[in-house]
Amino acid sequence: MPDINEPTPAYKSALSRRQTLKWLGVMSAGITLPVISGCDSAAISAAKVAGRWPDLELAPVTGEGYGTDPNLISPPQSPWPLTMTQDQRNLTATLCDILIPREGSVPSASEVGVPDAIDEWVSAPYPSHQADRKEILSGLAWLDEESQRRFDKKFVQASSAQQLEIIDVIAYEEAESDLRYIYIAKVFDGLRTLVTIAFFASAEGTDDLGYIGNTPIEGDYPGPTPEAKAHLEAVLRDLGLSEYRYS
Amino acid sequence: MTTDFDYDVVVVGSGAGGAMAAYTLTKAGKKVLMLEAGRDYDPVKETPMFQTPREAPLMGAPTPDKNFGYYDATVDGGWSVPGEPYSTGEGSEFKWWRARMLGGRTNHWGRYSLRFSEHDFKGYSRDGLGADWPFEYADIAPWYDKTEELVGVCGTNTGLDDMPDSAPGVLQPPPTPRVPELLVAAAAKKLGIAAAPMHRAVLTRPKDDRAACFYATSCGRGCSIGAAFQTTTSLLPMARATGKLKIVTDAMVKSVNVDDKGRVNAISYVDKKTGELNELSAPVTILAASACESARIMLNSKSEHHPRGLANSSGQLGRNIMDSTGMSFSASVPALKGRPIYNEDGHTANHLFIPWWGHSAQARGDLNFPRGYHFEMGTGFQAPGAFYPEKLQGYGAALKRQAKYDYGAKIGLALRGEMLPNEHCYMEIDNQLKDKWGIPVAKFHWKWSQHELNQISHGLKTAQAIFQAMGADVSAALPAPEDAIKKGGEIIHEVGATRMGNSAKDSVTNQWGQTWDCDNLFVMDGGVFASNPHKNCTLTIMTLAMRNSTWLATQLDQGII
Repeated sequence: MPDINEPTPAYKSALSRRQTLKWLGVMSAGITLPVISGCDSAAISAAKVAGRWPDLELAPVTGEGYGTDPNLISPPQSPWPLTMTQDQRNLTATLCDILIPREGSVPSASEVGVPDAIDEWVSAPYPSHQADRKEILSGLAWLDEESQRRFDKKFVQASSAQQLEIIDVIAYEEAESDLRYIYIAKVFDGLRTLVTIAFFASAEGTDDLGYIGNTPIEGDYPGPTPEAKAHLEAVLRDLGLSEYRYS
Repeated sequence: MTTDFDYDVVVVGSGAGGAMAAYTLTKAGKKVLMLEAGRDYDPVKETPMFQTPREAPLMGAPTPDKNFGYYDATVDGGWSVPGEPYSTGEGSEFKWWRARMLGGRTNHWGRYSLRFSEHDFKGYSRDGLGADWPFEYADIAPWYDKTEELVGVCGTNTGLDDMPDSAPGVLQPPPTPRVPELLVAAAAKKLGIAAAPMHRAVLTRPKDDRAACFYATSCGRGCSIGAAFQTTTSLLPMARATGKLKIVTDAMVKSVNVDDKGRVNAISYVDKKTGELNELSAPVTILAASACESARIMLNSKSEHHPRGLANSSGQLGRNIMDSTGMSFSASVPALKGRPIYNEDGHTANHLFIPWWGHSAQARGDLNFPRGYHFEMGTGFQAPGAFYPEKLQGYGAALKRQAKYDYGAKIGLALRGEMLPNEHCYMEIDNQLKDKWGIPVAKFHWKWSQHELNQISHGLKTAQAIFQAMGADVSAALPAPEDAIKKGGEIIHEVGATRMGNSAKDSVTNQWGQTWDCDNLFVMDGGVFASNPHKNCTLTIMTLAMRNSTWLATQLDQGII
């Protein structure tokens, strides 16, 4: 039976948006992302050529998802086979720790298992994750090729200074207006978001972020702390809103 | 299966309308047989209370299998149901959220519970659009009180013209507002717009066997302690306790059948466990399968007496479908960056919201759209996994510093508005496509009118102004309303397919949900709505089901039906 319930894109602009934006959208479900102009297929092709984009041809990951009635109390530990090669996992781990290194007693992204989360993400048999897989694995290949071009060795074998020489070129907003780096910069940005989310989702990352919810409260919800109330008062004053205070 | 239980009424569906009907009828001494298309479901054993995103595949992110994320309570449903497709007409987009589980969509709903007002019930009289409801607010107000009392709704009487008061003592105290909500409220007030405590079907005080909210773990997962209302922890067990309710799950109704006089006498359903088509006798039938599923059953129930579908002499069956309009506007508020962290979970949804403030402006003719909307707020220090940092820069310690600084600074305003029915928004039966049970599927047609687009434009400008008052950079050009408006069905407030009215000529049921054409066939889901005020439909579905089941019980007692 044809799956006619798959949502169809509403507008042409949504169709021509580049894949990297699409997978950012998946990760940030519920948050509206700005549409980036000039991302028609010709512009994407030009960026790929100028950026020497590997554009890997990958056999699709087949298999089942976790289904429409999975066990919510004990989620599956391995919902589908992981598909990254060891080299890809090593490179991902290196990137994880460039993005989020250990700081004192707070572990790095790789130490809390973020590479596994990335592997699970790109190995998921859902269409949007398969689209992400192509971009992320091509991005990993680009980093190795760029490292070969510059230093004649793979990224993980380059020195820390050499690695950062490449990352410094692609990790800032300026790269997104440089035709040579716009494509890798977009993919790197998406990977950075994924790594950041996965880090803060870990137990250690959640502690580091400071989130203190998901714990039962006896009696009424206490609301803002005195410190938070004082901050709000200052904000209202600075914005000229004190006289409109909610009561 | 029916020989051991001599029932008075068959109820199709176990969600808001069906469960309230079963509860009311069993309490009135009637025996009820309930058919539910989904599987049995036990929220005490199955609700993932406190499970973290990291324990779930993909950190709990939405997927085609679980459209609202891994932990959403919905079973075998969402925007698609395995083996049970629907179709859309050319050029139409419509999304239809279904659940296949005991309790239906009440297991995951937002629990927002706002009363409709006299203003809402009489829109046609005011502006000549759509249809009036066949009763006055005064007729239904006591039933709202009874329903709120039974369900448990927290909130306050605000005195605002868009929020009718509940009787004293009915509402439970609302939770105290959070910092971002208080900031939005002040910014809105500067524009002359009042914020108010949201009314939610969440207990802040214990009731019956249900505990009060402990302010943690999202209500969309379901609530094993019964604080967030769902029929599976309240109305269904209470009705079962009378000994007068029998529930059959995995029972997918195919058609409602009639005798040689055109009166309902039987129901055909597929037993999903065996695939067999069964028929059972039906002295009185209440359809509460959801607005469009009930209409689908009726459209699929053609007979000599009902050639256009059951109880469709008016031709209105499947017409007049209305969703809420929807639009989201979000931005980061610099003044909230780096703010002191505290526990902002609360009851995990709006403590404050912005009710519609434009009644007098519309009366003066100052607005170019006829019906109102409200804003809900998305804010707070949310559990990581669900939260999305700002556009990030760089790497290393600076990256993490930025992400932590930005945490809790994003605010989203979500518009929910009233749409008018129009001739382009309707459903029919797709003659080309059947589901896996052999039942012809629904085919939807959809088109927004200028009323909705003008309302969205107004909402975009208002949201932008509120953010400006909060010091956010929202200088980018606003999107066109055609692009900003959500798809039909996407807000999951679809109603109206079997609307009630004062005349058999232009409505499917009378004010009691009794079809004009069959005195022993009732509809008690959102299908009967004559209009779709912006205030979320579930409280009114339950209130009508309680009122109309009470009327039905009286009719049965008097031997009229």
